[in-house]
Parts: sequence; structure tokens; C-alpha cells
Amino acid sequence: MSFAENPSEFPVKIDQGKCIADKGCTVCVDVCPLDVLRINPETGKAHMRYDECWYCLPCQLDCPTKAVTVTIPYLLR
Amino acid sequence: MAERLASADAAERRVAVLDLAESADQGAEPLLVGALEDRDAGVRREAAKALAQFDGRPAAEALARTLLDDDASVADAAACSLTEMKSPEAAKPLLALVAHDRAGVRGAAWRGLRNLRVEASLKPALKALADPDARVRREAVGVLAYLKNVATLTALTGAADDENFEVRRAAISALAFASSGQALDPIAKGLSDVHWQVREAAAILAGKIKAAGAAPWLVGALFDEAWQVSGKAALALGEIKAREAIHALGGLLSHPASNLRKDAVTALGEIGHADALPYLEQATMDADPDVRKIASWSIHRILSARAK
Amino acid sequence: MAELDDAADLFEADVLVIGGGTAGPLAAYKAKSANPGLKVVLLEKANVKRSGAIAIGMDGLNNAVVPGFATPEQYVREITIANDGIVYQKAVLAYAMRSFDMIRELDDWGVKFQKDENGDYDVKKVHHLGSYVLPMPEGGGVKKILYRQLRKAQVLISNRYMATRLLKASDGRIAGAVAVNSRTAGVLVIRAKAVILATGAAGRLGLPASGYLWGTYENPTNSGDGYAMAFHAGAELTNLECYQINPLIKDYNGPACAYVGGPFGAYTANSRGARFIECDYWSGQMMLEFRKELEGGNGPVFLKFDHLADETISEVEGILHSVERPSRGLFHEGRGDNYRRDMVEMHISEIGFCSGHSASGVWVDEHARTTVPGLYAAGDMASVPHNYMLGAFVNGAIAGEDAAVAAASTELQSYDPQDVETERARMRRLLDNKDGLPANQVEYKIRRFVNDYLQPPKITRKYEIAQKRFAEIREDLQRIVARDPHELMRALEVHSILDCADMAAAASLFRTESRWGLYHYRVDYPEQDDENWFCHTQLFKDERGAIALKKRPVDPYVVPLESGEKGAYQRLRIPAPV
Repeated sequence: MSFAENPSEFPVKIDQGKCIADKGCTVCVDVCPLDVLRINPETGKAHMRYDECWYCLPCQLDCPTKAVTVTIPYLLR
Repeated sequence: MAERLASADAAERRVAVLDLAESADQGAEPLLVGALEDRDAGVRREAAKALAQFDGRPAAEALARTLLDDDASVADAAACSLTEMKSPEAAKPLLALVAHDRAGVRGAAWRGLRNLRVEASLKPALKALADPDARVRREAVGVLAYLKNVATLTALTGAADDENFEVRRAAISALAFASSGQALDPIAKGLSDVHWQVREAAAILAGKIKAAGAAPWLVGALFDEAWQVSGKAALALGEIKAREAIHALGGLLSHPASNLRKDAVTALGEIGHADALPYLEQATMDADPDVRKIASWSIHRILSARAK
Repeated sequence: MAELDDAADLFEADVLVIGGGTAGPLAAYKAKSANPGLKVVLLEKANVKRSGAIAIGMDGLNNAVVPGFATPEQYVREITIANDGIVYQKAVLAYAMRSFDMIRELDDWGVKFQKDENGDYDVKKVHHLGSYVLPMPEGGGVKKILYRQLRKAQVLISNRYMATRLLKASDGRIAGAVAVNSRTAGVLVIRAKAVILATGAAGRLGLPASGYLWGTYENPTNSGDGYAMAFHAGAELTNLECYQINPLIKDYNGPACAYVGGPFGAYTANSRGARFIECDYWSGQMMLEFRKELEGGNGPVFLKFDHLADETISEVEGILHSVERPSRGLFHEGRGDNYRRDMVEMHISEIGFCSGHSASGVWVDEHARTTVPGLYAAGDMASVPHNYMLGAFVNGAIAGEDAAVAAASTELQSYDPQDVETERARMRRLLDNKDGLPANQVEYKIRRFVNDYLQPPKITRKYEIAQKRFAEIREDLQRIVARDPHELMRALEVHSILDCADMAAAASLFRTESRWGLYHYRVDYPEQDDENWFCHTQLFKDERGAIALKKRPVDPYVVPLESGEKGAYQRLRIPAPV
């Protein structure tokens, strides 16, 4: 089956310069209640893998280096 | 773990501290205390946060030292963790800092001491009411308020005259452990304060301790320029069942602020006297459903009390 | 393409708790503390650290029974009246008796409740007949604190395992559960002597007006799995027609928190800035009045702060924008709204099941026992009404303690391996599908039909159409494509959502009267009919595997209502003068 690629503006953005996931940090991945964040194996940094955001903010608030920014999903803005 | 904490990479040391924080293992405590000496502020900050879960002397001593950290965010994290302490053993290192040169350190030490409620805080806290820094005086009021000791009444009453409005507000709120007669002076002072939140606190205090003697001032406060103050004064008059306030309260029923009309009908119901019935009948026609509801409930209370 | 792990792992435990949100951690903690020798396992499909309805904390208790402010008996009377009398009072009383001890225990653990200057609990009066609101302006850390306690108590935490079906012995006793890992698709069979369901509300049932699948009031992972599992295990569910519907900030779809703003003087207002709600307690009646105003000439509805002092608004903002749903501030900022100047537009939410705010759920008694021996339920999915967060804690504790006792005197039960195979086949099909439907489209369609046909006012013919559509979609469930374990989890959630939609429709059609205000407002049966319907409606699975319903009489009250008390609330409601 083929799946269409749809452009999406992810509500969770991660500052690659600040993220220390490559040093073993998994805080944002662990605290996401929807479990939609992952470590990208290519960059070693965290990213939003599934576009399913409850805009609840633990990822942003718990990040030890303040690398995460959450915006309200476009449909709700 | 020791190896990770000694890594040359600050980010790796920070991740190690995060892992320690989560281990919920007593063995983590000395390692976290050690990490408070790390050369990276981010590592020290995480360690200071993590130590909140270890109640007792070693953590308290280490965190107290960290209040002196050069990095403000690290010192803030330590101050925050110190407020989580519950063991009286945490008091000693904090009491050692209440006369420190830096006001921020003194304030944080007092903030940590409040919850511990140790008698040893009493004397130095009374002294701290004269601290040059208002934030420190405010924290000292908090420490005394938690002790609920009648020996502090005079000092707290004095603090109700402080030049800083937050200190005055806290001092007045702190007097809720006093008897109704003991707090009349600060209530009177508070109700004539220049800041509306201090006047509000005084009205709340009068209601809480049912200070019947404060009724005349409370009636005056019904006409305060801030409806919030009038509302709390009305509720206080209800608490002390001040029959002499019924007509003044009735006069508030045409006030434009519905929250105030609501407080007035609540008070009339609390006072519970039949003289209020015409006012309450009028209030059952109010445009605001909450006012109508409480008016109706108050009428019911007055009539059923009379039937008994 | 992920492979389903065919060699199912087998794990044995004494007590299995499913759901690591609010009730679950307490259940696990109390079971372990009651008997440290027990092996207690807590399953969570995300991570216990920040999962469930209170991921980012809670800004207050709405049902604190604190001595000096309210008594347990008074609380039971109020809940009884607020639910039109249809309550199992023993369970409400069991909660109320332990409410205060739970507050103190949480306080000891470091959960922050509002205290006055002297350090005493600062209970607020929001309703007229009792004071139950205890604010938690610094309540953001609840989950972290629970997590620490679980680690200390050495509860075995299994994150990223989603339980999908319960297992039973041939004599009907609980035997365990099947779970699947959301990262590996590994299947785990957990045998247990007692199982506690604590999977939260069915919050992904209706579709938010924004059309955004994840923009729900409840944490959207609360997809109703527990209701579905309980149903398939043969447990009775009660009063599911008593929906959860909430007044929320429009589009943001999060709580505006009248309970937070109320004590500061904020209130719900119409477009003229005036109060209009006559009902005095959170109920379907209140939602009915809300809906009328929303759609009437004075609509829409707003939350009004602009009459408050600047200092007060700053204080309210400090709470609303940091606890429970902290992105509220971000949302208002995006639209340029400021509480000092603008009223906040409100709306009425989509439907869901949640005993936290209404009275539905998996039937439990005062020990949190369901009708299946050895199976417990607690929190938003269990039937103790108006439970909120504190109720989830208390009933979780009750479930954990009772389960610990039960587990100590029971053996592990054997289950039918075929049940595991059936479940494995259900999952394998989704992973094996090369062609088919994306889970989010099937979900969207179900939830849109829920809005189109099930959202009250309830109309019989619309409900019948819904049932037909749901039956058609049931065929589609097998065609969902799951490309990886995460998508498998979402697809299985869609199965639960459809089960809940079917149960909502059936329960609503069964009760041929109107009750609980908007929650069960049937246009074809507009009157309350106490003669025939002063009872619980119990939904269960019959021998053919279909939904069946029966009545359950209301048990004799343990806290009798004084004469005239029922009318007290009614008397409070005086219509506006003409």
C-alpha cells in the first residue's frame, strides 16, 4: 500500500544545538504522555515522530537544557 | 555511575545526575551532594533539584551551602528544594544562614525553615522582622505564622505596620490563630490601609476569628472603594452575626458589582435575623442568578430557624 | 514492517494494575505497602512519569472532605442529590471517609495543597451547601511525586505496555491480561491473582469541534480501553448514558477552571457579561443551561475575569498558565486575548465517559470490586460518581488494599490459551495488512458519527442510524494498517473507541426517559420517569457476545436524605425576573 506524504507543521520543535539526547538524555521521550517523541538514530537528537500532540508541555517543561518548544497545533490556534 | 559523573563532557555528567535523581536509591544522595560541586552550572542545578527528595541533615547541609552558589539559577533550585524538607534536622544549617550578608540567602533560609516549625526559629525570626530587606521580613512573618505561638502576637501586630504592603498583608493574615479580642488593633489598622489587598486581608481575618468587636470598622469597610474589600467585610459581618449591619448590607443590594451583592445576601443569611427579610425578598428579583439563589436560601434559613 | 513477537512472554504476578495515571499508581502502591511480599506490577502504555489525566498536575481538589468544612455524610447527601438520587451510596461514603487521610498522606509525600498563612488547608466555598474546593496552585508535580513513591515501594513498573484483553479462568475468576509493547509489538501474557483496571476516561469518543483528533479535554490516550476490556471480560458497566460533557475554552478545548477562577471572583457569563447559570453544582443540569445560553440570543458563553483587579488576574494567570493545562497561556497569547480586557469564549465539549465528572463506568462496590471475581476498577472509569482526582487516589487505594488481601488467599488461575491466540490474531492482522485504512481515518469517521448522532439532545432515530453506521465500521476495523508498533497501539485504541460508541448508543436507547440534564436528554422522552427509571442501567455482554442491558435497583441509602432536602437545590433555582 502507498501512503501519501503530507506536509505537517509539528507542534513540538527541538533545538538541535541544545538537545543532549546524544549524550544519553531521554527526558522528553519519557515524559510524553502520548509517546510520540523519539531519538532520531541519524542525528542522535530528539524529534517528533508522530503528529499526535496534546499540547500538554511536559517535554518542554522537563527538558534539562530547554531545547523543546511546543506550539498550539494549527487547527486549534 | 562514578565514571559518568567524572566524564569530561558536561552533558554526560548532567544525564548521569538525571539518572541518579530517578533511581530513588538512598545511595544516590552522596553522589548528588558531590555533584553540587561540579564545575558546570547545569549539572549543579539538576543535582540541587534532585536533592529535594532526600529529607534530612546531609541534603539540607549541602543545599544550604548551595544557596551561596555564584549561579543564581543553581541557588534558586537549592532554595526551592529546601522548602521540601520536613525533618527538623534540616533546621540547623538553615538557621546558620539567617544572618548571612546576602538578603537572597537570608530569605531562602527562612523560606526553608517555615515548614519545619522548629521553636529555635522563633527568636531569630522575631529579630528578622527588622531586617532591612522587605522580602526577608515577609519570610520571617511566614515562619512566625506557622509557629502559631501567642508570644509572637505583639511582633506580628507590629509587622502589620511595616512599610512594605506584602509584609503588612502577610502579618495580618498570620493573626488567624489569635483570639477575637487580640487582633482588634491590627484589624482596625488593616482596614484603613492604603493598599486594598491589606484591607481585604484584614476583613478576612475579622471573619475568620469572628472578631465581633471589629463590627463598626467592618460596617465602614462596606463602603470601601474596592468592592473586593466590601465583600469580605460583608462576609465577616455575617460570620460575627452583626445584626447592626443588616441595613448597611441591605444598602449594598443595588451595587453594580454582582459579586458584592452575592456577598451581601450571603451575610444577611448568616446573620439570620428577620429584619433582613425585606432585603432578601428584593434580592430574589436580582438580575444575577447567584444572588437570587443565595437570597432564596437565606430566606429559607431564616424562616426555618424561626419555625423551630 | 514490525513483526508480532510470536513467542509470547509470560509473566506471573500477584496483583496486576493496568494504567499508570492517577488511580493506578495509588492502587499499586497500596497493594505493595499492604503486603510487601507481593509481586505488584503496574502497566502503562506511555510512561508513569507523566501519563494519564494529570500528566502536568492538577490545580485543585473539587471534592475534598476536610473536617471543619464538610462531613462525609454531608458529602454523600450532596452527591446523591447531584445525581438525581441514582447512586450507590456505600461507595461514595467509602470515598468520603478516606478523603482527608488521603490529602494528608499526599501532603506528606510532597504534593502541594493551598494553605493559609498559618499553614492550614485553605478550603474554599464554591457551592452553597458545603465547602469542598481545596486549590493546588503549585500542584504541577503530582506525577513525579507518585513516581518516586512507586520506586521507593519497589512496585514493578512496565512502561510502554498496553493491556488489550483480560484473561479469565473457566469458573469466571480473573486470570490475568494480554498486553502488547508499543515499541516492539512484543506480546506479554501476565498471569495475576487480582487485576485492577485504572485506564481512565473514554475521552476520545466524541470529536472536538476543532476536528483535531488529539484536541480532547481528557488526555487522548484515555481512549476507553478499560471499558472495552471490562465489557469483553463480562463485567457490568453502569449508567453509560450519563455522558461526560464539559464547558471548555472554545477551540483550546481545555478546562477554563471555574473552580480556579471562582474563588477569585471570576464567573461564567453570557455575551452581556452577566451570570446565567441557575444550577448550583457541576451536573448535566448545568450543561443544559449552558447549552441553552450558548445557542440563545445572549450567547455565546464566556469566562469573565475583566471585572477583577490586576493583582488578582495576575495571580489567577499564575495558576492557570502553569498547572493542569499550562499551554492555556500560549493559546490566549496566540489570539491576543488578555483576561484583563477580554472575556474568554467558552464552548461545550464533545461527549465522553468519565465518572470523574458524572456517574457512569464499570460497576464497582465500596471495595472497588467489579462484578467479575478478582477484577477491580478505580478512577475515572469506575462507577463512583463525581470522583475527580482525589477520588481516583482514594478508590485506587481501596482497590489496591482489597486486591492485596484477595491475592494472598488465591492461586494463579489457568486461562484458555485460545483466548491469547484470538487476541494475538487480532493484532497480527493489523500488522500484516499491506493494504487498507489508516487508523486515524477510521477513528475520525467513528468520532464524527458520535458527534452527528450521539451528542445530546438524543433522538431515537439518530441513535438507530448510528448503530447501523457503527456496525458497518466494525467490518472496517480489520482493514486498518499498522506499519509499526506505535500505529498498532493507536489501531487497537480505535477498536476500544468503537466499542465505547456502541455501548453509549445502546445504554442511551435503553433508558426511555430524560435524566441528568443534558447528559441524558432524550427528545422523544423529555420527562424524568422515576416510576420506571429510578434505577441503575447495567450493560453487559450476553452469551452471544452482544450488548445487553438490565435494570439494577438503587440500594437502600446508608445516609438517608432528610425530608425536603432533595428540594433544597431546586429551591435555589429561581428563574430570572421577567
